[in-house]
Amino acid sequence: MVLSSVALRRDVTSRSHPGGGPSAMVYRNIKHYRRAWLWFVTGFAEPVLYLFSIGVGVGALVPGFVFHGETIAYAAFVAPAMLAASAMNGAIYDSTFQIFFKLKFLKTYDAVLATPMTTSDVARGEVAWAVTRSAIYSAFFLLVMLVMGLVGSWWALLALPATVLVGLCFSGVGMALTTFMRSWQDFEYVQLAIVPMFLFSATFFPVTTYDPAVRWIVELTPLYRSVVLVRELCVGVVTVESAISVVYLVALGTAGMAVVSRRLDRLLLR
Amino acid sequence: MFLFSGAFFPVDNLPVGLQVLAWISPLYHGVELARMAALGAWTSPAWLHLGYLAALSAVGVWWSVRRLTRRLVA
Repeated sequence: MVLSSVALRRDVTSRSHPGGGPSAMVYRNIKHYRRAWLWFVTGFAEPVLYLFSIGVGVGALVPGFVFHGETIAYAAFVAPAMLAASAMNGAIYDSTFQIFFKLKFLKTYDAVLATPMTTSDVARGEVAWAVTRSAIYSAFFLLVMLVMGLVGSWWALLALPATVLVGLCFSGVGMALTTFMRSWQDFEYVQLAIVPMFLFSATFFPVTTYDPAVRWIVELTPLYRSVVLVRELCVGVVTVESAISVVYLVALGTAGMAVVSRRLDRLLLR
Repeated sequence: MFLFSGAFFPVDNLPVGLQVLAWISPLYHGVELARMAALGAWTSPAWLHLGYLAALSAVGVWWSVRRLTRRLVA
């Protein structure tokens, strides 16, 4: 009896979304956002507005800008950073606030775990979704850059997969931290981390501006590593710094996901 | 508003359509007043900015009192 009902449930799961497991989680989120597309759009708008204001507006006041020995427009310097920030935003929303809401209030995962899904499926599925959202933001942002003539090289084709790594890193870490949050107040820490990172991670001015004592702190932040990677690809000057960024982003993202799996086990199965 | 009200770059650099929007934004007038006062260079008529801000405040107060009265009293 028990066996047959489990078998039946498996059958139902596999029919509605052939992959089962993590993809069921992604499928759930896609259905959710069909009705909440406005949230989706506003998250994308922020880096675009910054690109127009700081990149284009302030850029008009900055005559020549030298990056890795090449003179580029200031807007072309800011744009890749906003692309990385766009990927970060896309990943952060659904890996922090949304996860907390589902975990504490909607009790979504309690329901999910009553099916053959495991906590690992939940962790992988939610990260996969956050990365997808981040990739959608990035793709559209790249399109904006292309239309504005801010892409300087064919290397930029690799910027999209690069932003997937950015999304992986931020969603992994964001979700891991979210599992430790106790109330909405704790999310002020997310803002406290995101806003300074957005402003100081060599987004609007080069990292060489900093005093060496401060510079190493900046260089350790995930957004800085993301900006370096995406910018080198978009401008077309790729150095070893990009390789360091790739390793850093993958490592941090994977570590985050491992923490999420373990924490969900403790929070939901106990 | 924060990004396009002349806080980071002159409003004149915006396309004309956006310049009009910047003029409507109260932040633009605040930024102008604060900047002119700080630099001591009165490049545009301050009374115009002050007048606009005062008018907007008056409308705001009148409107909120009216709405609150409707919701809570009448």
